[in-house]
Amino acid sequence: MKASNRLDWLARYSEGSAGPEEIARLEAEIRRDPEFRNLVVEYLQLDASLADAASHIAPAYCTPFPARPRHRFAALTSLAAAVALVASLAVWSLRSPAAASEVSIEVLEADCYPARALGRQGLNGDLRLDSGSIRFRLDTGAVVEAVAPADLSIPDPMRLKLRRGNVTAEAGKRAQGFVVETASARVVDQGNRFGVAVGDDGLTDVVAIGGKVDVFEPARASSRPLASLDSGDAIRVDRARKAKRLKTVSLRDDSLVPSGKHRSALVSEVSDNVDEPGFNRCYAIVPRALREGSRLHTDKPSIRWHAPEGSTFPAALRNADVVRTFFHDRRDLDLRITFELKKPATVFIMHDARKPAPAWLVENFTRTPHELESGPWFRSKDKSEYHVTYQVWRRDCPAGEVALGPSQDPGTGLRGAMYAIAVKAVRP
Amino acid sequence: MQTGDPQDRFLRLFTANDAAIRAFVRSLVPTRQDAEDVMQEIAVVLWRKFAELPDDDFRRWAFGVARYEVLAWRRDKARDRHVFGDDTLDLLADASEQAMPAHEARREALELCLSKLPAPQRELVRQAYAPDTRIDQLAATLGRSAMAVYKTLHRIRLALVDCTRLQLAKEGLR
Repeated sequence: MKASNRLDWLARYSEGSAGPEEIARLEAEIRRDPEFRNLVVEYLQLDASLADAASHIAPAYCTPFPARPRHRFAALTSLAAAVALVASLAVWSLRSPAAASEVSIEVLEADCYPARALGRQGLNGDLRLDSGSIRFRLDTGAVVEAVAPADLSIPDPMRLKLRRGNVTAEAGKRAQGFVVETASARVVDQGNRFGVAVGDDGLTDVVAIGGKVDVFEPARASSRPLASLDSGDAIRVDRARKAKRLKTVSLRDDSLVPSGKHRSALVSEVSDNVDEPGFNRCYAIVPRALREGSRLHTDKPSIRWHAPEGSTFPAALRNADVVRTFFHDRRDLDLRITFELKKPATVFIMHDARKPAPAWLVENFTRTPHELESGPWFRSKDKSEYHVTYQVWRRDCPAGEVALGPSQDPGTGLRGAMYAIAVKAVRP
Repeated sequence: MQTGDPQDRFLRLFTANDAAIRAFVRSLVPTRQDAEDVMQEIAVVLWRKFAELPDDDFRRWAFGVARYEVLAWRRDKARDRHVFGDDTLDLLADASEQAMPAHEARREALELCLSKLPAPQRELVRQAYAPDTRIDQLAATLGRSAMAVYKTLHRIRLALVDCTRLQLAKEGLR
């Protein structure tokens, strides 16, 4: 007797779809095996308890709410669930003017399950996420990813209003000029991929992930922008509509993620000693991101890590948390980068092998036998690619602040690549 | 001797034991709808015979009434549907009653185990077990077949049984 057979019979019996033969076999098993009998009892008792327990589960709404009412209020056994649902619907009705026009979206991913099926559908009014995330394409070709908690609406295919939460938009050529509006900023795409976040404090964070964006005051789009951001730049706009450099952002792959969620368990608060007007470069913390093909720098989207030809990506580095630095820091010989380690961890520095290692690196870190390559930095006419080789240095650090210096010592001539940073938990 | 309004007293006792009686009945009939049908009969009989409650052990008395009503339901259904025999129902009823002392602990463990489910599975449970949900309609909403949804729910229930068993074992209740 295969255990899976009798579990299958139990499944169909409990759905009411078992045939006479299956019921007879299931009955024989129940009589023969006391342990299985107990399992059947527990399974069915749990089925009964689930009806009540499930009414206490907070809905993972990825609104719009289904048009067809799915709950009969009188039948809700949980007053709390009913109150929550009524409150949600009240919010929905308040925020959904009857005149709101419907925008067509194509849902590409929806792990804010089970909002609705993938594919094309109309969106009339607000989109609210209490958990999970959704990725959808507008008719203009703009692709938007929203991560819960988020509260937004899409008045037309070129404009998104973000009241709370995080969105990452990839406008593409057809949707160039795509706008994300918040209470304190109007973000206009001029390139490709950018993220906008509105926290509970009402502040707006804007990060240019792969292309240019202009940030305006909300009602003055035609005036001079508050800031024009290039790839790797990030700012925070306060309620007084003043823009300030945002030094650290959290990403998941190339998407902005909310504060407190998907954050690295190891690294936080990356900072530096650069304080210049108009300088808006940010560091990006990307948990478990280091692997073949992953990014090194916030300002060089096309430059990726590769294992040297004939070798595999070192296991010691794979899935390490990445602190994306910015390439143009290579020129700053007074640079000091700091970050916080939340727990003891191994810090890896990937240093351009063409240059002598700076003194701070040699004195405090140990060179490993591993090497990595980045590129392609350019392609020649014969389509061969140029890659830079890096030495991998490491140091086991306690929790607390880690301070790093410039990419090279003064007087060492050749300006090579900026170093890269990765962090991995110390193995017990 | 009990005092007070019998109706209030009945409602208080029935409400306190409703979940346990439902679970007991559910373990003896094939589907949740069958359990609902039987529960309605049981509630009527319990109220009608409440004055005959022999002692203060309402739950034990209610289980006795429930057993009788399930057997009556089974005899009625057996005319046009294949259902378990009386002997098998007795075995299941005994096992179900034996599991009852840990029923509350198991329900609490279930809440914890639900919270540990991946969000998509938890949301599927929430929707599938909402009142009046039809699995075929839910499946259509999700763009999946009803069979696929049934299978997923079965796997989730088995995982929850394992999880609640583990939780009870940690608490020394199993």
